[in-house]
Amino acid sequence: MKQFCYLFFLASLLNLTLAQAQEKARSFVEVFGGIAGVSGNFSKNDYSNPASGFARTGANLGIQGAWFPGKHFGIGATIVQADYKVHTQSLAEGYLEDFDVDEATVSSKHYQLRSLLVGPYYSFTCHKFTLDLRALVGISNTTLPALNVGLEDESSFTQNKATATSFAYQLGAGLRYAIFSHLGLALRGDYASTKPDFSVSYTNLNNSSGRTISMYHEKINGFNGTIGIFYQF
Amino acid sequence: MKRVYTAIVFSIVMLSLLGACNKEEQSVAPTIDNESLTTVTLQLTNKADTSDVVTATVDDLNSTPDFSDATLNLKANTSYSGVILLTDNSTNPATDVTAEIKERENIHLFVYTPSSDLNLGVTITDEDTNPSPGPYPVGLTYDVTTGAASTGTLNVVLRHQPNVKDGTATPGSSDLDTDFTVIIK
Repeated sequence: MKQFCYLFFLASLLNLTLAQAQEKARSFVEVFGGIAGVSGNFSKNDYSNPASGFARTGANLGIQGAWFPGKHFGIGATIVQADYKVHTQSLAEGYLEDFDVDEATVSSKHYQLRSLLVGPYYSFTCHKFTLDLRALVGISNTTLPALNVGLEDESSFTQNKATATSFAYQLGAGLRYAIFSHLGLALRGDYASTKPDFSVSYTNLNNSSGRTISMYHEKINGFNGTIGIFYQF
Repeated sequence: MKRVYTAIVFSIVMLSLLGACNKEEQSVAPTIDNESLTTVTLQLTNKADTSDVVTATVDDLNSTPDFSDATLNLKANTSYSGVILLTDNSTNPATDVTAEIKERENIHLFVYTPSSDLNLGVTITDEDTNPSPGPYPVGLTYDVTTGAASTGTLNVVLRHQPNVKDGTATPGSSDLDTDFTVIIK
């Protein structure tokens, strides 16, 4: 019922905008940041599942813009970096059990995903509001951070940092509000997805014990919510 | 147009800051109690006569060890196949620690060391599944060969070698270190 209400609200908003949208959408450049959501295997914390990505909801920051040669239709581009923290606690507990040690520590930096996406915008402007609909495609360069695992007796090993480039896409909608003639705020929601193919190696892993993977090929996808400051012209 | 350039430069600076904020985070799994082990038994079977089975047990390893049944009486110039059985009797039901060691054989090694006055040799017969340069010996099964009559001790150590097992007794720590009296007649 709650989802139905949201959908009804969005449909009503879209209908109202479409009915009144008589103005030409204005080109813009926007700086934005927000929440980078994760879902699927990438967000799982199951130590025994090799598909688990141990990623936590992160943050993104980027710049985007669109040029509107027509009344509604535009071409846009986004450069964005998303950071996802790693759920190192689940890994530490798994290694503790597998190596039968009294203490295991796992340290890691963040997953980093840098994307360059381009694609069409279809926008409706009504007074100070502009509703943007967009479908972007491009490439993402993703970094799997190094995982440093420390076991008792000062033994340690490292799951090495890995990077991979892959096709990416993003579908979403956003609402721009022009506070001033050229300056305003934008709220956007996008679904983004990519599927990098990592080759994973280890340093100083001497014994075949504990969670090890030789590759990681899972979707990195989720819903991103951002707020931005735009300059329109 | 100047404002557009300003926005772009601002964004690049913000992206750089985000990259710089990528600090390393660490998690420590909570310390747990050491694996409890109360009883160790050596069971030797005469290869020439499988009905000839010799056992010796050290009990109460977690408190004051009981060596009252810890003597192996072996025949001279005889070959035995042996197994080591580990149990935790502090739980109800008792825990089969041998199975746990088998499960974690890639990070464990039994070391059998006869005293110098004992005419006895021990050869480990099982191997773990560690990749090259492994596999390495484990010691859950072993062969014992006796020589001329003699008396001494057989020291049994279980080395716990998480990610440092290399086939030698040096790395790691000891989960078990006890002696059995051996009499060869």
